[in-house]
Amino acid sequence: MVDCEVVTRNVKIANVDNHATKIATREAAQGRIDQIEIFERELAHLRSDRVIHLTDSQVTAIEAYHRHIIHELTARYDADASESGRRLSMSMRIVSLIGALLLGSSVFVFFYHFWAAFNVATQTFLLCAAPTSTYALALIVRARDRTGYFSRLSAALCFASFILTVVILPPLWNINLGSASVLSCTAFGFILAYGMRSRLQLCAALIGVLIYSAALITILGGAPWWVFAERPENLYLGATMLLVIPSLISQRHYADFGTLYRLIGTASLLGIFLILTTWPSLSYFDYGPHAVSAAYKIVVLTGGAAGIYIGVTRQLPEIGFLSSLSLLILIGLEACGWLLPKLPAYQFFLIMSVLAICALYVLKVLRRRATLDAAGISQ
Amino acid sequence: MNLQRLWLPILGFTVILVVCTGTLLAGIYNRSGTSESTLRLSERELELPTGESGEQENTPLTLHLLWRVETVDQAGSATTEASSTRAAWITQTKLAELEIPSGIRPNTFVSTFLVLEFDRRAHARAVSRACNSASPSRDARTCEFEIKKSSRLYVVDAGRTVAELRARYPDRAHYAIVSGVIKLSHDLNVREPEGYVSSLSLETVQGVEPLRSAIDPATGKMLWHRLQAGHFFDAVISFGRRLEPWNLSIEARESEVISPVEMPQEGRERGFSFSPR
Repeated sequence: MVDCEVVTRNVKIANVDNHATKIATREAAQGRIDQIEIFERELAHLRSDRVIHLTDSQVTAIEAYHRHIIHELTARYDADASESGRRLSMSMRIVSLIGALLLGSSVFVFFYHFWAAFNVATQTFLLCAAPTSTYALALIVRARDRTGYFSRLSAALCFASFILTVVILPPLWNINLGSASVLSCTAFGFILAYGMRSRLQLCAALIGVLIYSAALITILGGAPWWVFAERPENLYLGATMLLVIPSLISQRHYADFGTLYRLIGTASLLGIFLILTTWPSLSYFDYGPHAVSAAYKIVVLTGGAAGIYIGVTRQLPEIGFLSSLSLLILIGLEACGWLLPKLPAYQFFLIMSVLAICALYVLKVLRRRATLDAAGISQ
Repeated sequence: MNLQRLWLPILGFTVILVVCTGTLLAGIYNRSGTSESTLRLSERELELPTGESGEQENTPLTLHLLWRVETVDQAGSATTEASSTRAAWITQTKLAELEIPSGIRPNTFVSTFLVLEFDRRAHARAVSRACNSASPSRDARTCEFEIKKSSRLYVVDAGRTVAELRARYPDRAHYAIVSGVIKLSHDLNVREPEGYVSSLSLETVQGVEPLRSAIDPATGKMLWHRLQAGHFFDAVISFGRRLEPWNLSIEARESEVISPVEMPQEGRERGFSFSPR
């Protein structure tokens, strides 16, 4: 048994406050509370296994310290201190998302229902006033809402109003804004996403980055912007940008933002590779469908393997998962198109199961290495 | 209040302001000065909004331009199939003129300037083809449709600059120049490029104020609804500096417009010419 000397001290409110003020977001507050719970459970194990010895006063002091932090964080950020609270929070998040979609739809339907009764001046005024007023509302709600649910809801309403304006106002004045409409929606999506810490708006903005960068390349080629999807390679620039941005600009103050960048970037990049293996005629490269398809299959294999390695070694599970998925899809497509017609069914499934076991073994080795790295043990 | 706290309101309101004022200024710029061209269209070239019965009053008033292309056999395409009908005037020569390389890949889209011809040669050819008693493809119903109902608005040419096209088509009352897109692919049988007019940059025109807000005293319904029932009207459509159209006026008319039938003469030119009549 190891005697652990813990300095008993009175928990000063000032110290706790100092610690709590370092936490700036609800997500960080929730993370701190979760950390305390894990510590308390582990401490109980250590005490029951007699690894450490704490006096009753020491335990009481630690508990008081933790209770105070939890009280402070729940009061300030409305973080959840119980499992049922967390479940309810998840429900609130889902309701918030559905509410945002419904609010956006209600704005659209409201405008549509009464639209023809207004003259052009009124319509123009309403279209300009809708995003302005909803944005002002979102700013007010953001300043008063501790939980973030209502500010995100108001951000969704504002974004719906803005898109409505971008879609309806130019035709009302017989103007075609072209790709500028995508650019404006993307810029506004980013402002709302970072201002309101909204993942929904960030997803919209990231998709906007993909579309707008592809549109620019398409326009440079002399084609209209809206045919950007005719050549999936147009999306490379945007997808690469999404993958690189979290490395260049830290997203640690925004929960899950870095993950969303990598998720959408990786999914786009690997998705393009897979599409071009199946439909090589969509490629810019004009070396014949077989050559292009074969080249992209090699790209998927190497890209997928590199993605798994990066995902495991750099602790980026989203990249690892999507890379594994892309490899799985490629192998499945190839096997169904090539092996299945040539082999009896039992041999086909046998080969596939051997491949699955091999993949499992490789992933296990990578996982073990990552675990050892995390534990600080060198082989 | 420091700048860091103000970035969110400043950026957000700036984007909203840029979008709203930018659109309005672009619209005003398009309508300023002399119109690039002005066409007097009718219900044959402009489709009134349609909607489910009982909900039509709430349908935004948007007039759709009904344009066609001339096919290889000099017939006019259906307006609903115009973008999927091969345009006869998109030839190898035309592509060279547009500086499009000969090695075209399937589904290549090209932004360009297009010429809209209203009630001129292309339509006259379509009428004469449909109504010529000597033609084996003559059909009484098609003939009547071409004379009384079909759109007289054809996309007849493309060019790299507005000035070049306007020099070729100086008549601003019958030829409008608009931005648009052509789609190119190979005709695998003859190894020639196959061209389609994919779309115009703006294919809708918002109805003007009196039509939008006036109520028919007889039925209590909006005026455009009555126009749709009668379905005869004249609309003056102008194309501005940005080559985007707007509706100058719209008036109801008692009867339909009938296109004259001109039978082909001996020695009449065949094929297509890009010079106006």
